[in-house]
Amino acid sequence: MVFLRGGADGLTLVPPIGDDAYHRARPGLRVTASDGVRLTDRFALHPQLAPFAPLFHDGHLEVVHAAGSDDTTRSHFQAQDHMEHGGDIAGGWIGRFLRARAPHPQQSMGAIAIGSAFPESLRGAPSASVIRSLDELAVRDPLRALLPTIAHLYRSSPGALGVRMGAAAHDAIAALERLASLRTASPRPANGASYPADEFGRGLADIARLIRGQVGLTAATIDLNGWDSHFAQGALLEPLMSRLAHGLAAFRQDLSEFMARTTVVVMTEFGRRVAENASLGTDHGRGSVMLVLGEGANGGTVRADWRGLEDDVLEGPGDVPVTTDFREVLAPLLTRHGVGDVSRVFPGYMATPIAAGR
Amino acid sequence: MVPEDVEALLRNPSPDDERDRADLVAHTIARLSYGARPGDYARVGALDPDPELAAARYVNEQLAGDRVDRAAERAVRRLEALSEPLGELYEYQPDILRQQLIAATLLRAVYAERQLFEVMVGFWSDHFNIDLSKGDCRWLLPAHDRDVIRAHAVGRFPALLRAVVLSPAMLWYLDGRANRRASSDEKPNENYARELLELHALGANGGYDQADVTEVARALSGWSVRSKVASHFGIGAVEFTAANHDDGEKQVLGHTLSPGGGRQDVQNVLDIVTAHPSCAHFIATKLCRRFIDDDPPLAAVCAVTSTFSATRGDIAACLRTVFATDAFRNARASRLKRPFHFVASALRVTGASTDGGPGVTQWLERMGHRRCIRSCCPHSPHQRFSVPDLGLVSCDTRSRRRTSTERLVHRKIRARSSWSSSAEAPMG
Repeated sequence: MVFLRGGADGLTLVPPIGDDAYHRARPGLRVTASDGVRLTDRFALHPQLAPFAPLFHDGHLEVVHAAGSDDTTRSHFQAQDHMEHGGDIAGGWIGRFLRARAPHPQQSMGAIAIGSAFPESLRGAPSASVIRSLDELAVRDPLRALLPTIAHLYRSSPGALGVRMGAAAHDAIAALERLASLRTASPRPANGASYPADEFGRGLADIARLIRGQVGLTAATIDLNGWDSHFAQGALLEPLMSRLAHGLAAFRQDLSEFMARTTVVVMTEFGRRVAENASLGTDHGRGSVMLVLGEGANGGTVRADWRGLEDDVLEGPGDVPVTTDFREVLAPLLTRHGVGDVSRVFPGYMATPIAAGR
Repeated sequence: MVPEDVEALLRNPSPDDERDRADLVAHTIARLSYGARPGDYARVGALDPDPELAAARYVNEQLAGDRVDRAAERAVRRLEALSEPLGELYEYQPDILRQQLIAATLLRAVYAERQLFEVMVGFWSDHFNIDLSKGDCRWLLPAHDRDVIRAHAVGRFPALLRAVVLSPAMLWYLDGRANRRASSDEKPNENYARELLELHALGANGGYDQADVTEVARALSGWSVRSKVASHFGIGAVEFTAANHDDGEKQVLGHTLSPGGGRQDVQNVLDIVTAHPSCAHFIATKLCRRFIDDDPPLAAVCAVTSTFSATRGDIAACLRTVFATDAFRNARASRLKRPFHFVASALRVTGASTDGGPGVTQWLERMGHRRCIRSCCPHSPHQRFSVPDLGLVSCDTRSRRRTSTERLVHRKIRARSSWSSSAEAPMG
């Protein structure tokens, strides 16, 4: 699961170049029909997302437009929580996904988050690890020798705390052991894949390595940050789009045959206001874009209940109405990945399109 | 693999829940400071034979007046950027400013006598987070730290908030400087207006809606910062350009701002916002989370909320109320330290001397602390400290804490280094 944090502008990622209203609302920021990489008569990719074009036309990549959640706060934190929790409930949807797949064996490397903080989406996972990079982790000999001492320290901690610390330490040590064995197993990207030399690219390469190493990885999350484009957004978004597209193209090439049982979902907490602001940026909006790559993707299509961008269809202060709920996109994918009863992952969610214009 | 006896130990820890619970003096020192130094416990305990009174006297001592913290000043005296006027900061390499700011933060945490003041500086720096990699923030942040955060850290919240709203660094960070509405065709930049309401003053669900965000953005339009590109004179100065200000009538949180308010609109908005009941509740809740528990009892939050309202946001008075609650006195369970606190307290408890140089800051960064580096959005509301959230601590973090502590004890971390000829190591 790739999360674009900050609220990515769907109208820049996949501009509706066939809509006059789009060009009118974005005089300074629009992607022209000739610059866009055409997908359909209405939609194009931003030129920086060009590496996605072959994936789309070969049937591996699906685009969902005007997608989002029913959270209307336009607050980063509330909208992210809502999407990562899978609705107004406690715990993350990936955490519930992992539980719903039981009795598949759960292992310490069953779920990982690349980064430095535990994402909300993984809350409640039977076991999950947060790592910045595979290479930075190592169980060195001095540490190994210290294990009995460490265990003793945990034992002398007071009751409930001691139990939690003990279990946590045990998980950590087991994960480190598994990683150590993987370190030598499959270090290089396969099939000539070349990742961008940035944090996001390295994170994707690490996830691919764990998948190829078949350590029992079931779910992984990674963030690409910085999409909050209130000001001069061109300069901000172009490098991000390039990293996103090149990174995922390399990921797909690297995994090759493993992609037959791997699905990548790209999502963001909300899109941006249709009209640009006075500082060549855009403010918080509603509907944006989701991408589905690999197993389960309805490749080569732009899925959208698209109602245009005329004033009378816009929501609130002038935002793309959300016509496809993110759970509608995720639910069939979860089924393909072994969840019998999707309501265990999205309790209370009825898989019907949410009303437009709210 | 993990040896079996280790596994057994990890799975069957001792059941003694009451053991090691801190006494009131130790608890108070631990919560108000970046950790006790050798001798602190004995010194505070000797303030009064009754631990209750000793702890109370420690609180008073920590909140006493504006006296100069000589230990802290001595520790940072060679970091010359800290005292530069705003415009002069542009003469520095941004890396030097960053190093000096990080070093100063660490040195003050380790050496300051007014520990609670430094803890509150950290609290407000988080609350009003700024990422120094954005635009001119890399030059402006040391002035923001000094003139906004440190100047008001235990003062009055409305004055602190006003200083933040008109801080050049914040105007850069949340795009306030680009918020203009010279004609009705132009759309104001809403970035700062939203975060002012959500993150700085009222909290999510604080009783405002999208229309309030838009109206506050209009009221704050027209303020900008003189940039390096546009001028050689007065760089970094905050200025109001009437032509870029939307001077029409506005409706904010049920109040009407009359047309023609001009530069007064900012104060009018702040008066409405800081008097709003959500503001008192929001700040009180955050203070209780910091000093009591992630889920503080309602009674404590209400007590602090009342103090905030009654004193119009007197921060020191709110802190006294926090420390007087039963919830604070009883909140003695262990909590997790964030990396900065972990490192500062490790240096304090071992009585180590440090110059705040790369030996220590690299250790911090390896543990995941990157001060002023934006993670995703302006500020994460998910900072939690207490042990029940231990599951959120990554195995990465745990292994780093273990190895780094081991390295400190074995003197493999150089708490002092020769990174800067001018940073003379202070004496503890």
